[in-house]
Amino acid sequence: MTIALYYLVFTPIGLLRRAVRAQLTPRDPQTYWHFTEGTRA
Amino acid sequence: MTDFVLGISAFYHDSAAALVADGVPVAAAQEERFSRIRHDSTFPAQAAGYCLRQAGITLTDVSAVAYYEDPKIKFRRVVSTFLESAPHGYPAFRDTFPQWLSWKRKATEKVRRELSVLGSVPQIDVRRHHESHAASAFFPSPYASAAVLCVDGVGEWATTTLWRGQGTSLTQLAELRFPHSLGLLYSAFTYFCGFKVDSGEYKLMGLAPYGKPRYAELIRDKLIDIKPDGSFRLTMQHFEFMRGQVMTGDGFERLFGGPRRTPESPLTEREFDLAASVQQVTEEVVLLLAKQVAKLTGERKLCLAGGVALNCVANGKLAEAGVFDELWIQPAAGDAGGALGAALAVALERGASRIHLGTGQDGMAGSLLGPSYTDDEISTYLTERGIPHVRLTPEEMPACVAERLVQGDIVGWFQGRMEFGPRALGARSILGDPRDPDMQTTMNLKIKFRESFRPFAPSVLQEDTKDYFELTQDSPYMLLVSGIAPEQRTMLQAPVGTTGLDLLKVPRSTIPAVTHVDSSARVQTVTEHSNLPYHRLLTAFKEQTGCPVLVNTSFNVRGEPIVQSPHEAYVCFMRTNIDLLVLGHHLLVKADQPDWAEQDDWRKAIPFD
Repeated sequence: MTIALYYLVFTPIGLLRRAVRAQLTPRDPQTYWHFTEGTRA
Repeated sequence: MTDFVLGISAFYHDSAAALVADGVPVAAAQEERFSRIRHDSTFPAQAAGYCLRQAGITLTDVSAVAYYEDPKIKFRRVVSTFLESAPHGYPAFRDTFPQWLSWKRKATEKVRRELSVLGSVPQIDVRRHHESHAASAFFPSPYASAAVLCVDGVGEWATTTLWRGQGTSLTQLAELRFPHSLGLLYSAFTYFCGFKVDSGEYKLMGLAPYGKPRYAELIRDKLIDIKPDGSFRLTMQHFEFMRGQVMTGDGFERLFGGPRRTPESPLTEREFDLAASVQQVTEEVVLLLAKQVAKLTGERKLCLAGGVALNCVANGKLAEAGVFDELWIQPAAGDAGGALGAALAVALERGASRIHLGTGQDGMAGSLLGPSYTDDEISTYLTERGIPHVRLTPEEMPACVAERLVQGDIVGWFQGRMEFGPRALGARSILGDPRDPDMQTTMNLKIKFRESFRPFAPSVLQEDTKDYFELTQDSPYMLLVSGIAPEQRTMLQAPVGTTGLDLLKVPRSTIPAVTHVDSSARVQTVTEHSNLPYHRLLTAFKEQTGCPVLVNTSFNVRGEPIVQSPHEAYVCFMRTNIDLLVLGHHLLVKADQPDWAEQDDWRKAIPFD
C-alpha cells in the first residue's frame, strides 16, 4: 500500500517538480543567499 | 511577579529543557544526562521536571512554553524532500513518513500531552529552528549589539542564517536553505570516515591535524560551489542524504577511491587526509560567512550558534583572522541550546530585559545551569552505602587534590551545578597533570576507553593564558582552539617521515598531554567568576608546580553521557582507572574502596558513540 502510494503519487509530482526547478534555477548565479526583504545585498 | 518561560527542544537529537526567569537563564539540561541515553531525542520530561524543581515552581507558574522549531514547516520540508528524491528513497519514506503523519508534524501537541503530567500547560509558542539558535547566541552574549551567524545541519529549511542583534531584538538578514548545508557536508565526511553522524563530527575534527588536505581541491571542485560572499551549494548527485538513510554512497566512493571506512576498523592515511580536507573547506566557508555578516551588519562583535559552531578549530581560525574584534559562542551551540534560545526569544518578546548587559559578564552563569548536590546529600549517599571517604574543609581541599594531581593521579572532579552543553567545564570533569607525557594515552585507553588519536583539552587560569597559549580572547566554554605559546613549545617539527598516529608520540610542549599534533589546544579559560572551586584548584596546582594548566576531559567513558549524580560519578570512578574522586568536599581514594564487581560486562551495555 505504502509502496503504491509512494510511486504513484510522489514519483510523477517529484519528476515534474525537478523539471520545473531545473528551468527556474539560474545556471551561474552571483550568490546563493536568500536575502530577507529590505536587506541590502 | 516573575515571568517564567520553559523552553523545549526535542524529537531529533539532544533533547533539552531550559527555564528562563524574567529573561535570565536559571536552569537548563539535556535529557541524556537523566535518561543515560547519549543524544537522547525523546521528550525531555526529566530535564523539564528538573528545571521546575530548580526554580521551586510548578508548571502552573510558567507563563509560556517555547518550542524550538516549527514542526509544520519541517513536515513540508520532509514531504518536499521525498518528492525531490522520488522514485528513490522509498526505504526512508517507509521508515519515517508514518511517524511524520501520526505525530511529528504535530509535535507541539505531543509536547502539550507530555507536559500535562507536570500540571496545567500554558500556551506553546513556536520559534523557528534558526531563530532559536540565533537567540541562544545573541541574547546571553555580553554584547548590546552584534552580528549573529548560525550554521548547522538543517532545521526547517534554513541551514545557515545571518542576523543582526540589537538590544532585545534579532533581525534575520539572509539564509541558505536545505539541502545546501555545511553541517551536512561535514556529517557526510564523518559518515564516510566511519564515525556516527551527529556525534562523531568532533572526532573528525580531532583527526584532521594528522592528515594533509590533499582532497580539499576535489571537494571544492566536485562537492561544493562556494561564492565569494560565503554562499554555497552542494552538488547533490554525490550525496545520499536526500534519498536514503545514509549520508554517502557510490558518488563518494568514486571520488575518494574506495568504500566508506568500516566503523571501528583501523584508521588510514585516507581518513586523516579526508578529515584535514573537509576541515580546511569548512574553515574557508566559515570565514567567508563571517565576512559576509560583517559586511551586512557593520558590527565588530560576532555571536555564533548551530552545530557547526562547535567546530572549535574553525572558531579559532575565525578569531585569529580578525574579521571581528571578538567572538561569543553559545556553549550549548547544538540543538540542546535551541531550548534555551526559544525560551529567551519568547521571554524577551514578553518584555524581559537582558540584565547582564553592562556587567562585563555573559548571561550563561558559566553554563553551570544543571543540577547540583549539597555536601549533606553527598554525605548521606556515601554513608548509606558504606563508601569509604574523608570530608575536607573548603580551605584544605584545593591543595590536597592538587598534591595528588602532581603525584600523577587522575582525578574525578564533581562540583556544584552540572554544565549545560557538550563540554565539561570543571563541574563534571576528569582531571590530570598536563606535563605528564603519558597522560594522554593513559586517559584515552585506561579511563575513557576511547580511540588513542583523540586529544585532550586544557583548562588554564585566565590570568595566565598568554603565557601558555596564543589565544586572542577569553574562551570560557572551551570552544576556541589556539596555538601553544612559543615559549612552551619544545619541538616545532616532527622528525621527517613521521605520519599518522605516530605524530602523537612526538613531544611538542611543556604540556604534552593537551598539545595536539599541530601544536594546538582547545582551551578553556577559567575565572573565579565562572567557576570558583575549579579556579581554586588550578591556583593550588600552579602554586605547587608553577603550571596553571590542567587536563580537563568530560566525566564519562566513551559512549556514555557525562555523569549527572554522585552515584553515576562513583560508578564511573569504580569502573575506570581514576585514582581519586572528589564529590563536593568529599575525597574518595581508589585504594580504599571495596572490590567492584558487576554481573555483566558494562562496556557491552554502552553503545559506541
